[in-house]
Amino acid sequence: MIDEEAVIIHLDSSSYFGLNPSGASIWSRLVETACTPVEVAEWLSARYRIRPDQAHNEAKAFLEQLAQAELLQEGTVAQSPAASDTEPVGSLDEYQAPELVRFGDLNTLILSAE
Amino acid sequence: MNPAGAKRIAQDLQLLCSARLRSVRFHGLSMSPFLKEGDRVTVEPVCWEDIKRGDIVTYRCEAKYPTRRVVSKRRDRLLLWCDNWPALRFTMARTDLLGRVVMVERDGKLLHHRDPEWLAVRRRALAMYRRSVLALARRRLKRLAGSLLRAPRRVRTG
Repeated sequence: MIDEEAVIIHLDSSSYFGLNPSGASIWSRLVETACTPVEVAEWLSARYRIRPDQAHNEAKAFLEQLAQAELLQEGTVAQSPAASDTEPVGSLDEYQAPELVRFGDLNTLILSAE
Repeated sequence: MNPAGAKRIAQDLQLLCSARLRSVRFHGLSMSPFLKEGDRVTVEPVCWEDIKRGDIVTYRCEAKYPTRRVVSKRRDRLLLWCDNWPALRFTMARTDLLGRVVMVERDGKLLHHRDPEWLAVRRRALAMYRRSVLALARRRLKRLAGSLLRAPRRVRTG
C-alpha cells in the first residue's frame, strides 16, 4: 500500500496490478476477512457515504474485475465480518469508484554488484 | 498511480517474493566465484538487527538492485564490497535495504545460506577483507613514515 493505493502481483502469472484508494481499501478488507459481495457493498457505502445502489453496482463490478484477473476466488463465508472499521473516510467529492488496473507482466529481475 | 511507480514497487515485491516467483538472476563478475552470471538468486526480507557481517544483501539504488557482501555494520548504514573487487567499498543506507540472499541455484544445484559451503566462502571473504584492511593500514603507515624521514631538519643557529 502506497499513499492509499496498492500494487498487487499475481504470483502464478507474474502480472502486476494497481488499485485506486477505494479499491485498495476493499482489497485490504478482503485480505483481513472473507466477505460476501453484499457485505462489501454495505461496507463501501458506509465507508465512503455513497448511495447503497451505487455501492452495490460498483462493488459488484470491482469484484468481477478481481475474479477475472484471478485475484479473487469464490468461497464460503463462515461468519460475518466485524463492522468495526466502517468509519466514514473522506468526502463524497474525493470518492472514485474502485478500480483495478493491469499494468503488465514482470520480467526476470537482474541483480548485479556492478 | 503511474505505471513507472507501479513497476518499481512491483519489482521490489518481485524481489521479496523471489522464493515463489523464481525470476531473479545475478549478472556480472563482481561477486565471482560465489555468484556468477545467470545464477538464480532467492532474496528474503530481513530485519536490520539480523544482518551480520558476511551476509549478501540486496538494496535499492535508483533503478538498480546492487547485491553485495556486508563487511561492516554501523547503526544506520552498511559497508559493502564485492568479493571479486576487493579494492572497492560501497555504503548502503538502512532505508534502502530490501533483503538478504538466502539461496543460489546454479546448473540445478541449490546452495542455502546455512550450508557449510556457503559459510566457508563467507569466512574466506571476511578473512580477505581483514587482510585488505591490514594491508591498507600498513601502506598508510609506510607512507607516513616515508614523509617523516623526508621532512627537512631544522637547524638551530645563533
